[in-house]
Amino acid sequence: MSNAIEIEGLVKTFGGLRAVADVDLRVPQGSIYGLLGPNGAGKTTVLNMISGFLTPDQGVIRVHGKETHGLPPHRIAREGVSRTYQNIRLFPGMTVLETVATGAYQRRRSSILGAVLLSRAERRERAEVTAKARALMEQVGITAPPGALAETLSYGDQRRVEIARALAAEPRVLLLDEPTAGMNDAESHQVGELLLTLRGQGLTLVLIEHNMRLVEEFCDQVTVMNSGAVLAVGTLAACLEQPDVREAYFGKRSDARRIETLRRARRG
Amino acid sequence: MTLVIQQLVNGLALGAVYALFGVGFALILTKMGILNVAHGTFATWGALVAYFAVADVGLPFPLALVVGVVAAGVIGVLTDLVAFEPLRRRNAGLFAPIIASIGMWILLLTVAQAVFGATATSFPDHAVPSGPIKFAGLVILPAQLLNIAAALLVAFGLHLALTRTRFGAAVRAISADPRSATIVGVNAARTLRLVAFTAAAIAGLAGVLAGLSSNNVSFDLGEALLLKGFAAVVVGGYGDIRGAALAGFMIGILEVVSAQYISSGFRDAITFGVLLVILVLRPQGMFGERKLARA
Amino acid sequence: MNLAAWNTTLQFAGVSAIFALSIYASLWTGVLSLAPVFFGAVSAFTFGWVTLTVGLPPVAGLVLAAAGGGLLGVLTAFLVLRLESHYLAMATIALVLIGRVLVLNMEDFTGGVAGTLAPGDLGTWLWCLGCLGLAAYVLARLRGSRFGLAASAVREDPAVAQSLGINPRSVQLVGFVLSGVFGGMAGVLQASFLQFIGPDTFYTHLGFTTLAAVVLGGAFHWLGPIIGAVVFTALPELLRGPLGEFDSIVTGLLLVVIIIYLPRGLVDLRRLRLLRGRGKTAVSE
Repeated sequence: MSNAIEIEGLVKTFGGLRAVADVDLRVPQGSIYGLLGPNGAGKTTVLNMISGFLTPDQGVIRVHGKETHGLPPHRIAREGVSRTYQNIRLFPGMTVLETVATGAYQRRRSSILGAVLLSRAERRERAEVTAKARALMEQVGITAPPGALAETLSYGDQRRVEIARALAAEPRVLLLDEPTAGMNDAESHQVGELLLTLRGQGLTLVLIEHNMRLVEEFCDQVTVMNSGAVLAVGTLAACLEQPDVREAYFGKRSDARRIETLRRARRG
Repeated sequence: MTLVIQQLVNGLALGAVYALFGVGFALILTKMGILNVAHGTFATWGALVAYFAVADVGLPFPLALVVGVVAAGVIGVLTDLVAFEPLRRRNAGLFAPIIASIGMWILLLTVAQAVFGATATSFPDHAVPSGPIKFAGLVILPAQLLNIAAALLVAFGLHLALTRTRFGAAVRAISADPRSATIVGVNAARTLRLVAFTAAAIAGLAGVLAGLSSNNVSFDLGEALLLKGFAAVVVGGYGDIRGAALAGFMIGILEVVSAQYISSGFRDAITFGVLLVILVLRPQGMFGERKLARA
Repeated sequence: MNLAAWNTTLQFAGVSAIFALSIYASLWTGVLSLAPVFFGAVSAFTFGWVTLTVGLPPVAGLVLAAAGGGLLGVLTAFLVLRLESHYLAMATIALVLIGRVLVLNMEDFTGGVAGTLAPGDLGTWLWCLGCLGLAAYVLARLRGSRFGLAASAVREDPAVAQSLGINPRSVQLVGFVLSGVFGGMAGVLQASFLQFIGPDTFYTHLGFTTLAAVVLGGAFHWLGPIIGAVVFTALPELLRGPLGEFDSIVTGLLLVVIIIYLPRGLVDLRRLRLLRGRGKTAVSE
């Protein structure tokens, strides 16, 4: 099986601090891949480098065999990489439907002139995009009406809108940064089921996730990071055999849990 | 040769006013992240208040100058409180403060016209000694010396204050992040007011000196200074106020020299042409760092 | 104010509205640009020159100015779009400053300090509303289009937009072209209404009041700038009675108050949607 993402010797330094130090990563095509580790381990930094928000200081990133490090984010997106965000980033003022339709940008072909003259192609495309956006909303399980302001939705629904927006681009690789943060167990499980469906459609999924049960149930393989370096690679169970993983990860898990409880309490 | 040196001196004296204004403008822009278009009206107010202190109240010029400078500083603080503080609290981004400052510009200028009456005038002759100083074939006016001395003093003083004092450390902390600055024990409110006062007071000083050396105190005074001060900041760079000062002097020399050797009509064309070229080719300015502080 | 005066004021409001849409076209893509004033200046003086010196009919002058404005938009975009937002705004202000210097110094073409005449043929309601209608129609059609959604996305969060495959630079380039065409049309109409244009006709004052109109009306929907421009042109006329020549005090005050208390302007679709959303939940509960 070939790899969707291959990373070799990735390094990123912020003001003398090595956030990511010599990381290798191989994500097999069509898998659900977990990126684990305590807060500050460098997981999001790796994700940001894959999607092009950050340029690596050193190292190689290949997406489906093509080198993407150094490309601007929109070029990487055109290679079939989509993503969601740890701190939800929706467009203020946009409805759910508009937000998801925005994600379809790369899949649309209509021109400025066609839009102004409202050509037949433009009308057909708009109808298609609307239908597709509605279908995606249903697939990810958004219950709010399409005309609602995305930013007013419940926390879980906002995360789902982000997923739908990313999917509208028809990616081959989907990067999810804590997709279940702030969700209850039932909602998290729904997201897990969605991941399975997407994998079934041929997508490769990389997720940063703190919910161990979810990782255990849905991830095919994981990489555990700590302090910017890779601690372990393999199945979750195999990784947890390693004492340094248990020390690094479970030592901090109580922290992660406490933070999560705090977050929920504040929101509620 | 004497002519060239004379031109340089004239250019330095003209550029000193730009440098002075540019330093205050740069202080707000780089440390507070606000492109304050109303900054020119602070200069107008400084010049007008000083003029009326001399002409109507009969204060001696040095005292009137202080009154004008303080008045400008107070208006700067009021502007900050009324227009910028609410936006800062809301974390309103980059555009909102520019628009608020346009509003303050219109407001302050119209109020000035209502208060002072819309006539151009000049400081009385006896305000400063007007007899030229002759030195090695050069003719230097006392006002010119005053300009240069004031610009150098303010630029170096402010640079020292920003780099060597607790005030400077507080300003840096706030410019990095206003909220966390408060956490580490910086009195954010007081520092912000002080910065607003300092920048506006410097504009006021530039206004008084501009009015003095051009023999013209009018409502357009601030706008002309704003454009040149703006050019000085862009050319000099945003990271360091010394850049703005140096660029101000350079623009003054450039203007005097191009008026002498090319055409006085193209004086502004050259200044603004340099401005655009620098913006496009080297947006961080000739001496500047790359990043701007966020509002 | 008598009827004739109102007639004139409202026609100017129409031209201001086209200028406001020109600023809006860039703002939509997240670019604060005063370049429309420069576009207006170039097109107005070109219009004066091609009609009076070269002898083209005024309508040809308008078409030429609109096309030239679009081209100028492309050139400006290439010049300034590499800059970050603050620098970009400054560069467009610099362009306005340079525009005045050019007008002053290209005397054969612009009349220099004295200014120049322009034919008044296009200074009618028909042309004013025609051009305004055209600009508004184009913007309204683009709103829900591929470009429209991308423009709003780039404005609200350029990084996220990029991760969806949107290149902010190319979206902003389109914004500049639209801005150039609208600015070109507005410049010609302004010249035709005034029948005289000088170095101060298209300067910072026009830029800042137009920007103020956009902010007042709302920069998040094409209707906002139009309403803002009408209010901003009519209000000083209404205030001239009670306040005399100091009517701009209200303009300035209004600008500060609006940006602080109504930052998204009078026409705010988001607020409408919020209200509507609340209404719905109220019903369903």
